[in-house]
Amino acid sequence: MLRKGFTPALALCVWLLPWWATAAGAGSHHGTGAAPPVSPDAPVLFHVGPLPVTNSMVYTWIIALVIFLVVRLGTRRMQEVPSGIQNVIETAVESLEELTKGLLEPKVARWTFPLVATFFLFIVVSNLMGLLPGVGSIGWGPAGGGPLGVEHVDRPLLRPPTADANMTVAMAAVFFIMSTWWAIRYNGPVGLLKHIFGVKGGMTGWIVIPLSLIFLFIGLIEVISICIRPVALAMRLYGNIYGGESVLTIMLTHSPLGLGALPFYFLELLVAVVQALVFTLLSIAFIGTLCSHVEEEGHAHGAEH
Amino acid sequence: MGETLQTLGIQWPKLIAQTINFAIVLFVLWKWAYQPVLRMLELRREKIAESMAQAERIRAELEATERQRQEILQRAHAQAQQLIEEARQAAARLHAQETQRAVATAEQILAKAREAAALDRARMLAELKREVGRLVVQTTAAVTGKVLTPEDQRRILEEATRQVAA
Repeated sequence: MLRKGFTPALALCVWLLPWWATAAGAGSHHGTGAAPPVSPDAPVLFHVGPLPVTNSMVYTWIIALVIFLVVRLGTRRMQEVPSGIQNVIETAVESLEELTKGLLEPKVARWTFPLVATFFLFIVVSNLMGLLPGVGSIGWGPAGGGPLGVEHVDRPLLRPPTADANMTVAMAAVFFIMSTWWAIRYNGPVGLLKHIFGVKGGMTGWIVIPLSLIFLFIGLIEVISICIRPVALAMRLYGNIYGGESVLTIMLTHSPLGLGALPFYFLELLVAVVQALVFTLLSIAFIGTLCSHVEEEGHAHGAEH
Repeated sequence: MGETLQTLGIQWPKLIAQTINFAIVLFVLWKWAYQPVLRMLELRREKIAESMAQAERIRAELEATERQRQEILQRAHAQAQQLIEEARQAAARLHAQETQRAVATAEQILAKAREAAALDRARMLAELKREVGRLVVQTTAAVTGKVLTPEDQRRILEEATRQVAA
């Protein structure tokens, strides 16, 4: 399971305090060479048949288990007057439903709510659990001081799923497929093409002919924009969380007792929630651009007046 | 492009595995969080709406009951006033009747008293006449010293009676 040349030492460095990571020898080598402080790709821990299992996959399972347990605890015996975990879950679900209903048409909000709510809850839980002590700092690496100590962690045991491009790309791909499906379901195939390439502004007469060429060009740009959206979603989330991980690692290993990382932990708490909200809101907004008749309604109102 | 994907560690098996993982999280949340919570919220919404409708119904019923109570009170008040008025009239009527009856009785008693007094006076007058006659006869007999005949006695008696009556 473990590669030859690495000491299979489980680093018990950073369970309670960040400075412990430094004291346990997380290493001060990062940043001095060409290698990044945190590997951009999630290291493979072991294989299950042909499937490489990365540390982010392992942490995804743990996060899924935590979500499952919390949700089951909260909704197993639901009371009409909520309390405890049920209250928290109800508040989260209701807030996300209100958010979705506030930005999308009721029909579209009903379709999209489960996905966008899952985006938010999964990303926020992943990001926050990624800040727990031990995540990214317990793992395998060249043998260091102490019986289980490593010089620096090459292959952490756990990595936040949102710091793995595979997960962010997977979520973005799900968003892309589902938003396309909902756009077709909402507009119809021909309606969707008209929505993208059609002449807007309620123009009629001969002016439509030159305008249709311009709107064809605009439609092509729109198609490119639609295709870029999932890439932007995936890379924004991955970049922010991976960047945060890198900053924390550098500050932990390059400041006395790792105390320099403390302000960044507060910053990362904020980033964890903000990035989840950004991903969710952008998903809703992108779906809204494809599944709405606002412009047409606006013209209809204009014509009435 | 390929180099970037390699740097980021994006590979089909990992990508598919993470997609499945995300789908599992989505399923877990949908099955055990969204569905029961949304059902509960809907149930609560229905109950709140029902409670509000019921409260509105109770308020309307209360208003109607209050209106009926006021009407009944007004009616009772009017009936009481009418009864009092009737009683007052009956009492006045009774009072007048009793007064009239009392006056009649008093007049009757008075008439009887007058009649009795007249009879007594007549009887006394008769007795007085008779007594005066007898005394006149006795006196006449005593004065004249003779025995009066019944005829004389009758004549003297009649004379005395006439004079007394006069």
